[in-house]
Amino acid sequence: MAEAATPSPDRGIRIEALRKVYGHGDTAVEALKNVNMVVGPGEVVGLIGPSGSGKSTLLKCLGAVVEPTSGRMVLGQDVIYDHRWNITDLRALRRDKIGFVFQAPYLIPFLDMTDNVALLPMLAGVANAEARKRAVDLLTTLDVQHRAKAVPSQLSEGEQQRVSIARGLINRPPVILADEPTAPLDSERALAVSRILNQMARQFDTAIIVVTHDEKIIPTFKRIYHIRDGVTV
Amino acid sequence: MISLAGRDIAHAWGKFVFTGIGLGLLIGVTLTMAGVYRGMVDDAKALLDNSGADLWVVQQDTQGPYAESSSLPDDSYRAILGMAGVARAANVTYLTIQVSALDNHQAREVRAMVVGVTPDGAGHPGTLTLAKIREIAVLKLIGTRNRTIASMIVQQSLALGLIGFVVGKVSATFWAPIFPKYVLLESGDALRGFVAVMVICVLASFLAIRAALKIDPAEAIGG
Repeated sequence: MAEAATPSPDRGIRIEALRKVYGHGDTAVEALKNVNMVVGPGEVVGLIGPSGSGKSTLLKCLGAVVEPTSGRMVLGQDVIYDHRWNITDLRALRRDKIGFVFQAPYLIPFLDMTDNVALLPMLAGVANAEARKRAVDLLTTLDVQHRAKAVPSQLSEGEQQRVSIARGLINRPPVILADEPTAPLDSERALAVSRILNQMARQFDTAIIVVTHDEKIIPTFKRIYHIRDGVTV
Repeated sequence: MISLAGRDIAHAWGKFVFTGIGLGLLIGVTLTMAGVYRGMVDDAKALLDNSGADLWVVQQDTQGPYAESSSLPDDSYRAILGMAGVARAANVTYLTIQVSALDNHQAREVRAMVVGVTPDGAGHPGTLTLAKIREIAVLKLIGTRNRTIASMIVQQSLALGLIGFVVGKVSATFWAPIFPKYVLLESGDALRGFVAVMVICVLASFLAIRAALKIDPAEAIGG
């Protein structure tokens, strides 16, 4: 059982009795039965469980791309879901409040690194020059500023993953969802990415939830949630 | 002032109309050939780039695997597998055929490409479409508006149409003086052709936009 942290008033995420049922009647599948999590600001927690345990469904609910069936989700002080979405513009919620880091970096192949990162604030209406400045600052923090003008195909997988972390952080979201972020990396690079996630969580006061099977990085989490058959234990 | 051109046309309108149609066909054929060429290159690149193969082994003195027929003995890959530095090798077959298909109970001929691969073996094709789906899903997931994605698709389509038209127009301009018949290229024809190409591109992009808007951002999250 994971030990709960206390989220600060405007950061962190709390999930209470979250449930998700796909389908109806005899064909209904209860992917999430009872998920409870609290992740405080500056904290990186691991979410592990076997295939089919509900990890991806949980990420999709947290990422506001799949609507839960019932339960409650609180992001900072905002109750974003309470048996129904309390937010009308889920796209803006994802853009401004949730960062995503994927198994593969999924950078936009025709944009350089600066614009890949600056794209999010640009989408939020920030002026191009300001967005690019913020992107370069973040790339510098992540030590990939020397590749700012390169396109994804010119970078190593480790460098691309750092850029995708920068993209996840650029709008200073209270929470980042990382889906198997170290899966394609060797041990050394996987541990480096894990260190970066921990450092960024503290520096930006962000709650980070890392879904992983990667045994190399599991010891780097201070807290781990296990999910089995749709229930966090 | 009377319109001399109008009078001349009215005097021999049939000749003018057929000349115009002939000229239109010339530009159309040029544009079509450019399109056919680009389509072939695109098809070939999609197949080759997405196969993930580092090296293609083809029949000697052929330009296979796509540009020319090329066949190898079925067990050649075993010999290649035995070479130092080769991690994976597998057979791949491409065959383009014309087949009859039923469409609303009407038989019609369609061109189809049959691709044969070893399941999960080297050379297993990905597709360009799937890669695009993931890209668009990521864009949607991180908060990109549908209209931004639609605008991107329309702009790309228009740019492609513009390039195709310029290539066709330039080709026709160079071709005209050496054509064994007097060819008069008028700017008005070029303008109408340009408008037609742009309209077709916009209509075609609607199909792509419809497909893009159906993509679920949840596809970006694995599992």
